Amino acid sequence: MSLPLASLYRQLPRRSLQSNVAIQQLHRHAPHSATLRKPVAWQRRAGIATAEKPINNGAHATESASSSMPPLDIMKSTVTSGHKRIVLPHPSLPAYKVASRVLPTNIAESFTVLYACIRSHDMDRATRVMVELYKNKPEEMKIFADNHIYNTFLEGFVEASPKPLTSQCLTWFDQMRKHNLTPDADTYAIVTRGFMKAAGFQTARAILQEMKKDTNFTMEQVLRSPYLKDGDEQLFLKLIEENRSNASRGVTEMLGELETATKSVFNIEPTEQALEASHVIADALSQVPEARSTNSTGVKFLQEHLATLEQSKKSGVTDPYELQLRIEERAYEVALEKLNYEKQETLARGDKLGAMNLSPLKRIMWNWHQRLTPLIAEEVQRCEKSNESDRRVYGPFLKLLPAEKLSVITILELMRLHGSSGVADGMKTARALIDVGRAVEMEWNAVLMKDRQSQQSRARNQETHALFSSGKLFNMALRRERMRLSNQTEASASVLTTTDGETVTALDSGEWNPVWPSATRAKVGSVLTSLLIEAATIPTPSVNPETGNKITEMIPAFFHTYQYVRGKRVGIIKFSPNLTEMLSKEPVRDTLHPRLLPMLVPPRPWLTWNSGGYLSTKSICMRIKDSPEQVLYLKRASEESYLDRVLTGLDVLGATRWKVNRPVFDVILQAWNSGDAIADIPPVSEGNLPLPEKPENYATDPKAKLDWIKKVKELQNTERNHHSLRCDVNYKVETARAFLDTPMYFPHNMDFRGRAYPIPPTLNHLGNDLCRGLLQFDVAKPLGTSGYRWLKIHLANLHGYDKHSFTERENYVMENLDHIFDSADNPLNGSRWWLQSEDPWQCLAACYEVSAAVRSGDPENFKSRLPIHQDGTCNGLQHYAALGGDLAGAQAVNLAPSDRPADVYTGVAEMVNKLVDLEAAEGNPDAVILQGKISRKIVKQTVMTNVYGVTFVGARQQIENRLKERSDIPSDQVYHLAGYLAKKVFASLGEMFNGARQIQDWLTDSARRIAKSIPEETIKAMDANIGEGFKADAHSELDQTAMEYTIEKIYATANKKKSFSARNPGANQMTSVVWTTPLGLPIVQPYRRVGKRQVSTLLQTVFIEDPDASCPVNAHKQSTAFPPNFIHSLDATHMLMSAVACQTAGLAFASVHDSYWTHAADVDTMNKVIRDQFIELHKQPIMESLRTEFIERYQGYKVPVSREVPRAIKATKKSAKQEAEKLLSPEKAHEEVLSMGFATEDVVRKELEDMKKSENNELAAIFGTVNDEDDADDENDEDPDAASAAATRGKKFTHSWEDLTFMPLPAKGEFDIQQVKESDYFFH
Amino acid sequence: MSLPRLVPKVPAIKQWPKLFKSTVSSKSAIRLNLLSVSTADRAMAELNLKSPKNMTAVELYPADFRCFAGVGVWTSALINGGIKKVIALEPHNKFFPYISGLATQSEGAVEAMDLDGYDWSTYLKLKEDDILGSKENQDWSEVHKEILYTGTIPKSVKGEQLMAQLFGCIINKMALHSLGRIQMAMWIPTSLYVKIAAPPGDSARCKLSIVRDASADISVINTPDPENFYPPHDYKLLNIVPLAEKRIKTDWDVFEYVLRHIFVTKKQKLSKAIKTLGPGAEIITPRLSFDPNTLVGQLSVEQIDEVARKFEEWPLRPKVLFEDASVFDDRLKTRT
Repeated sequence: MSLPLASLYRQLPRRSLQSNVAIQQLHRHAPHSATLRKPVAWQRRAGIATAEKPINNGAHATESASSSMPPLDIMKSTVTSGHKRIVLPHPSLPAYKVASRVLPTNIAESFTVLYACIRSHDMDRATRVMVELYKNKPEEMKIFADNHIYNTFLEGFVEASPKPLTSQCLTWFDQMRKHNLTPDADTYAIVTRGFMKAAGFQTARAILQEMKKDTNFTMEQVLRSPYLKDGDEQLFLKLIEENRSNASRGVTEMLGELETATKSVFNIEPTEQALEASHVIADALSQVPEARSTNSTGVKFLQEHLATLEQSKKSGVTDPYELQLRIEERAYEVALEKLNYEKQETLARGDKLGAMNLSPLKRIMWNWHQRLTPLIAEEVQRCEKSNESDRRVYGPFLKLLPAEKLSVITILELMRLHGSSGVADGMKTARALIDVGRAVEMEWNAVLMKDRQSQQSRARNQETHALFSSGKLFNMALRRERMRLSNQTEASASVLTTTDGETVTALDSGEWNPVWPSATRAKVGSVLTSLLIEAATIPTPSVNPETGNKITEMIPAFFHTYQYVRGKRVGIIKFSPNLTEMLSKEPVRDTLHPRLLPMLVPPRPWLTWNSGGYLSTKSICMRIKDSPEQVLYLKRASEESYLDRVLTGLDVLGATRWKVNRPVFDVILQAWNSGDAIADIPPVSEGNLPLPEKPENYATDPKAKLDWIKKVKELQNTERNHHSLRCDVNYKVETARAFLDTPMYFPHNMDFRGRAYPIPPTLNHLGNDLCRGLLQFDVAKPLGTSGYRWLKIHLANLHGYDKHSFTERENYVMENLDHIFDSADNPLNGSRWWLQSEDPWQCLAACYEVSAAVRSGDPENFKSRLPIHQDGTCNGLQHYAALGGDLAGAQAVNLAPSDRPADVYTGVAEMVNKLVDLEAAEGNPDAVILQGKISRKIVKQTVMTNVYGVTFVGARQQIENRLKERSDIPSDQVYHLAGYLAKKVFASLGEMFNGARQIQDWLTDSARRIAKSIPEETIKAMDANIGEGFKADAHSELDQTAMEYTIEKIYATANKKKSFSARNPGANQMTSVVWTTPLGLPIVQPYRRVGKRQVSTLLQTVFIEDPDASCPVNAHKQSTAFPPNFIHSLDATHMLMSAVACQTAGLAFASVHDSYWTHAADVDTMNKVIRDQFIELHKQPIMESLRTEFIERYQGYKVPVSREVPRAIKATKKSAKQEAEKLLSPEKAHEEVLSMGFATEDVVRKELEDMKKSENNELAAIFGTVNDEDDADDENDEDPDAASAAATRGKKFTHSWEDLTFMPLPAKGEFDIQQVKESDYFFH
Repeated sequence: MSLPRLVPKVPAIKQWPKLFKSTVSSKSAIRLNLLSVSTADRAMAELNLKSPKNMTAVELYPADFRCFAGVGVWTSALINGGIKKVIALEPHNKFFPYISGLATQSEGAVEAMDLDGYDWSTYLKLKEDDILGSKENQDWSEVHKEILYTGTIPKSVKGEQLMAQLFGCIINKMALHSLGRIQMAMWIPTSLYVKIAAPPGDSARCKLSIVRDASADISVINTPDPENFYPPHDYKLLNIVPLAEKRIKTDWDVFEYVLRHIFVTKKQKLSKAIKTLGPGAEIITPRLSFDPNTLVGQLSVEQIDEVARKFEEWPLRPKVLFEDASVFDDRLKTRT
């Protein structure tokens, strides 16, 4: 399949640093791009072609102080994915399994243990593992054990301390061919190096001679091996020296070659050069406008962070790139030293009182750390000696990092997970264990990357970064070149062992670095977590109830318990109340997760699918969970360079420079410190609120008891929400504090539909009102006439005055100037006008900006930083209306021009009112009650969520909530009336968006067909009636073996499962809906019935997804989720297109999905850009392309069809149409039930029936008394067979396979997309 | 003067799938029903009630979403066996006609009520003076002479939950048991019986066994052949006599909380399970009078009660004990 890595690597020269000269030139002469045309020397030598076309960016190369950047050539190409599509084999086919190279779980786990043993220098155990693998899994080893693994193993002997284990190394080296592996140049490099290190220069020479004799590898290839380390050239020189006396001719010749190669490869003194080079780059960087003076308080905080490290104290890092890199690379050391340092300082001053200055939280964390570290060290000792199977598994991993680092990782990771996975004051155990394990893995990878990253790749990264920061990477020719370079070094990740896309798969150097399987992470996580639970306590005053004596109890900070969630038992780790209280009151600065902060410099550009974002960690441009197929598609698309435009879009978002809004920050801080409730910051609660009094008949009257419990639950909820809200504010304020006066950047990635999200979780512009109020653009731009106007409109909007014309909104602001000044001058003590807003903090920020602008006396020249928002009018519906060409719909969502903004919610409300009036006149009692009461507010949420797949039940719930808020609806009727209204809302929407509704139906229908389909080859191979066998086409011998092995495995698994046929096709229905967005991003719907595996850990049994198994899709989810996912993929496309276009136009740009932000001055320009891009997008034959793509992608796929056997007499008379209607898939009855969106009554009825079925599960939730034995994490998929069997009972059917076809597309309505150009209120 | 013998109209077995086909069409959805009149009579006789002619029986056919109620075989047997009056609770419209048919035939001895035994409000209704309220007897030294609580428990999760709650009602003198120490005779699936009857150390020992243990004595009256039911299934008639004095001394909410938590890991030692009660809860371990290394599944009611008491006395215990949804809830009926 893939080329051996080393062979790729050999093409790249090592240690050649001439590139730096090129960079130097580049920066010295920037922006004269002519320099770039000259192919860089080492590139030429490595046979890498540089762009031949002159790079045409001359006109835009001037860099102004604002962040204007050159335009993007690539975006000029028409927006259509055309034939740029990735098509991969179906997951049921052997070819897919070979391509994805999913390791069997047990092998993956053994490999990781082997790896950990090698890396922790336990070669005894590593050898045993290797021997066992070859003995017990010969087949698998033949396929999966490659040179990477073997070389790493050999290197383990070489790296052994105190000295290399040369004899073992030689033995295994000799056995290599026996294991069907051929030594490569790297192998020779490793073994030679081993002997040289052990001063066995004669043997080393002999090995090289053997290589010369047996192979065609050259000395240069050996010397370029990434397995050689800095300084190894000295060893080679010594080897040459030591063997001079050997007179044999062959030797002399060989030495000659070696000498020449050494000279050419190590032709310069590497250390000095490298140093110099990095200086050069630092110089170059400081010329880039982004390099800011770093003497600001914010950076000081981060610098202080670093200053605690001795090394940086000396060097005094001021360069932001270096600073960012160090913070990332040494995240945990910094966190640890920070705790340690202040403690020491305080003690050194002999300052007993000073010790009190340590916040209780910090002191307590320090105590945990002090107790946990030795516990971990002891555990490592125990693992050394123990033969327990668990300790054998996790032991080697604990040795990879020092105990104190493991301790910090565990503490910070658990703190970070507070309130995650929907658990109040805690987290799900399974999640926590795996995350802690993953954090250990990531830290190990960071250490390794830092250690192993060659000077060269480091320099290249920095160079790329400098190019990006200066905006040059938005030049596509240059970008492509960089992408190709990255692709070459990334091409190493040949084995895919992970189901999620979050971790490193290979190092730059191409060394073997397996991803830890979830089970391994869970085991490592569980030992650390349970040790922390043991160690982390909080002293709490108490009494002994037996003696009445006062005592201090050591209350565990975390404890493990179980809760029933929807009737299932879920293991959770909870924070004790004491800890939660601390987190809601005290500064949490020291618990901030160091790797998840915003960045000091622009993020690393996304040149490939897995290289971008933070500088030192390898992350993936898409958030993927448990979908190896999606990873595979993404990777392949990246390799084919189909992702350029999407990745560029992400880079634009990441390049936006942000700044903390200081005045708002100060007010928030003041409010927080006062402890009073303000805006959405809840008050500090002192202790627990008193419980309501128990009613007298509590014990005897179940009803009374229930009511009381309800009250208590409500109270508890409020209290808990307050706590977590305060904790949340705390984290945000502390993050903002860290960046007070320094600009920051948010690296972005996407969800699987392509929607972009900032990666730093605590503070970002997607966050709540408080976050948004805290953030503004770093670049300030003079308002100008139009900007001043937009600023005022923005404030009016925020203050809730957003239904009026723009002029009216402007006037509103001018009329309220006194209030606005007061808000800015006395935010907390004045009349608090800003607090009337639904988004008070953003409103306050706008008050500051407007006040400053007005008071400047010259508002139009006032330099503003405030992002002004332009929001789509129900953006999902806008896309639907454009696709469907719906005139009425387009009008309602402002695609068509109009004098005033149309409001779709009002429109729908009016339509519902009409329907209700009509039925009231007919005497419908429900309609009579509701007559005249349907407001915009009642229907709003339902209309909004409609496109995104709200179900009838969901809609009813939404409407019920709204109705409850009214006092004029009898409470016992609310539920019933909500159902009535939900139907009316759906009906109105369906009428207004008729074309959209048909498209939605088409999307659902197509997805349903796809999810049921199976490739013909699978059918022939698996169906007992046909039985042809899989094709075992493969090019190489290894592939042939792998293919045969895979086929064998597939049959073996198939035999265990139930039979497969057209009648019972479930087992092989593995087809996901896959499509390509107009920008070329492949999207794979992940919904499958995933197999789970039980893994027992120290804390509890956890269920882990089994990546080994190919699982049938969840056909129901595939079809119902497709329409909303498809629309999301379109709005994401529109956003990314707009981002790049705004960048080209020199605008700052940020987005919250369908809300686009820029400077006030640029709003008009941006509005034009948004419209143009929308038209550009919808000019494309989107639906036609989709249909064509489906037809191509699923060519040769078949669907199972069941046909009722007609009774003899009737059959003859049936018309063709009736026949067709009788076509019935066995699953159809089940699947159609949960439809949504513009659903008809029929669908609603079915959904309700379906809900009744699942009600039984609900019951268990309420009682929670049974189900003692099962754990919780697995889902309850209903068995579709049962339902279908029932539906078809008593009738006779024939079952057969038919071609997968798609319905013709519905006709498009008459709306002309060009009208959007004239629509003022399209986004507003 | 005795009434003429009541004869329930039992449809021919072949018709059952058609007659009582549920909207959810699946085999398991058909309610278990006692079919055989003779078996019912025999079971009634074996119940050996002392003075049936003074007794009013409340007969429960709880409606499960998957299970429907009866056609009156057991109702008839109760009347034919000498019970003065049977109040038959039958909430399902497919079965209600059978019961009301019996009611007509019985000239008032059978009263059909369209009520569901799952609803708390049902018991408020039953406690009204003209139904059972006048028969209240708070003397728990003797078993209530005038009321018998009987019925058929569906074989489902919900049926099991109902039984658990009925035992809880005995302890709290709640619902029907607010009228006194009322004997119960329930047809229950054998699988449920195994749980109910499991002694300490038995592998089936669970929360339900403990609550039963703490509240009532039980004895099996009759184990008919599975064919007596439709669809055929192993059922037992279980006689349940509430204890004059419950064996739990701690507050029920506390006891229930402790029970629920420690039984999550019933195969563990108590000393380990106790940690899940709250952060630091292991401090109560040394305050126990018995070996904390006892496995949870082997604990007696009194031992668990002791754990609950020590837990209640612990100053730092969690103050609110029902954060998860495992308590009584009335949401069931408001949404169907």
